[in-house]
Amino acid sequence: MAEKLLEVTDLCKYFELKRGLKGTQVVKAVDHVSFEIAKGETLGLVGESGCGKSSLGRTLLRIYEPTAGEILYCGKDLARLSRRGFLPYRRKIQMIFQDPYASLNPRLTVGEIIGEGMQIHKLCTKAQATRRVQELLELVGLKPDHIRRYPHEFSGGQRQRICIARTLSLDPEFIVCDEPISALDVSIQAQVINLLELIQKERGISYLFIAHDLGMVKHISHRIGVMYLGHMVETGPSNDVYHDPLHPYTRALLSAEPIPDPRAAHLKKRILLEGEIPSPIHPPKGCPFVTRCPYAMEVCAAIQPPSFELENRKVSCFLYEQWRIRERGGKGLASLPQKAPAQPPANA
Amino acid sequence: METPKKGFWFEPIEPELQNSEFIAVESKGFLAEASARFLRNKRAVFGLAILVFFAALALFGPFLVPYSYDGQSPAFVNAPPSAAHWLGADKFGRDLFVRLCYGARISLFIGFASALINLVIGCVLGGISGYAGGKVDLIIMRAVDIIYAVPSMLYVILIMMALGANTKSILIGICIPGWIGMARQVRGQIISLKQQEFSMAALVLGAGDGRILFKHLMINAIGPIIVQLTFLVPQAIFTEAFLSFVGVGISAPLASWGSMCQSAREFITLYPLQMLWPTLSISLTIFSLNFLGEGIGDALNPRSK
Repeated sequence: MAEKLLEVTDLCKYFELKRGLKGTQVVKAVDHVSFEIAKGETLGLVGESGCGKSSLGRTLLRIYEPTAGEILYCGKDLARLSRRGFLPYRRKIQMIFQDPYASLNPRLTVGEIIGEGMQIHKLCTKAQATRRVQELLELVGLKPDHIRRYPHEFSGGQRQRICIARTLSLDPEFIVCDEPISALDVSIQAQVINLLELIQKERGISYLFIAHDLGMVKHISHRIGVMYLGHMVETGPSNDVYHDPLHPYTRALLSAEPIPDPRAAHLKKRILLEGEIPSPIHPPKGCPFVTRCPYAMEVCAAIQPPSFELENRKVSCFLYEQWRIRERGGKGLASLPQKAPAQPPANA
Repeated sequence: METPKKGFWFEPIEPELQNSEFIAVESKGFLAEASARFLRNKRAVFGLAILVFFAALALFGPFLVPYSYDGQSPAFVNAPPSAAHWLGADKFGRDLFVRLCYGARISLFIGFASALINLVIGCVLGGISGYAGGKVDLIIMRAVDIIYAVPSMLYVILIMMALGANTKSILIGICIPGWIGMARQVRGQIISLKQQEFSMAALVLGAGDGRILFKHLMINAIGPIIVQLTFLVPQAIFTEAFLSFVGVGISAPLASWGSMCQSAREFITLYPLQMLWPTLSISLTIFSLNFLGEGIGDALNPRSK
């Protein structure tokens, strides 16, 4: 594997909710999440709404202060830096936001928006900045003379290009893309994705690509991480995760993805999850997925599964502890239970 | 209905038209566009013209006539408008035109100076309160509540008693509770704006608190701030007029629009014109301020083309 750029260990972000007389309740938006990203690599992050994907991305950038854990960036722990100490890293770590309508200040011109970062970090003089902004506009496929326009004069896709130009103005090494295409038309999504891929190829930037469009994530990511209720339940190379999901939640998630070919879609069996996603205020005591998991065992309700390593993949599920034991007995992945056990533990 | 020929609907577009989705409006500088937008708004321009008229009257009016604001001439007591006294004279034979001009000085000065002071204090404290949140917010907002709990007229009257009846003490009295509305308005705006992604984007770029608060958040609250400001100016002018009307404001022989109303009140049935001039001035000023504020608010918004 290439050189590690980012290594996150046991990152937590808890939000405190004040509920009057009931005292304080804690929402564990990100709970002991660990993963790593290599230079020039894209880690796709999937999971349903409210599972903590965006919170994780924002915590990495210290938009939210991390509650606990380590964010090692090139060997330096970003979680422990002061705000001033973090400033040099702001140049290297950037973010593209979900809503290109909300992430551009409507009162500033495109030139001011893209040039602001360079001004803050004193990267160049004013005249140079104008030139550089124009170069960036061309790079993302806009015209240099758009520099004096306001964001509202552009369409959604063009606005997202402006956002990309803004992040590129600082020449970052790592970009958190927080659902950068979900607010765009399908026809525009491909354009933006291609642009992101092109930039990665040219500059060797790493991405944390947050999305819920599985097909798109598989397309752009080298590796995929799956989140559920604040936990990272599975990570691995994107092809492996996509074609051979290990964690029961990943299986259900992938089976829910629509297939463009209706004949093929007919053949596919969907795994329907029962019940609702538990409230992150009262998560299950053991495995976060235990309330909906068709394979739930007694141990799942009691203990949070640690992360088990299988070749180049990691999965937090006790099924794979057993698998490891069996492996010693000579059985492979095929020994995995493909169907729910005959008697799933009632109300686990 | 005629069926279109084959190939009628879809044809490849000319290469030079490929970028036609861009809106082809020539962009000028921000100020040039804003003033163009302002000038297109007739009501706002009308409001500005009236205000300029009163401001000119306040500055140069007294030089047009050979009277002073306290010069009495018994021959002209309660005189109607004439070539000598354009607007007539009051019960002491003082020229009403020159008094109206001096009144404009005091009223407009109090109106705009207090609005400016309240704008600065309100924006800074409201902005900090909304942006910082937590304990800072709590302390500032409780201070606001305490100041707000005392009737605002009480401040003015108490300060007038302590510092004497003059313009300065009216100004201080108006400003102590005056910024509260502005601070609350700004705080609310900032709280909702700071949740927006562009504020996070600025943080991610490395912008400091001051930069985010003033360059990104406050600038987006400018519409409500200006609306609030257009309330503040008339409010201050009214307060001064009211104080002078009830007799605790500007002391004789100095003139303000309020004290002119007060002295005209006695003979309103006999000489209604004496009452008309100051009330007309107050009404016109406030009327035009509302138009002006609305116009400025629209002009500063780059979205209103």
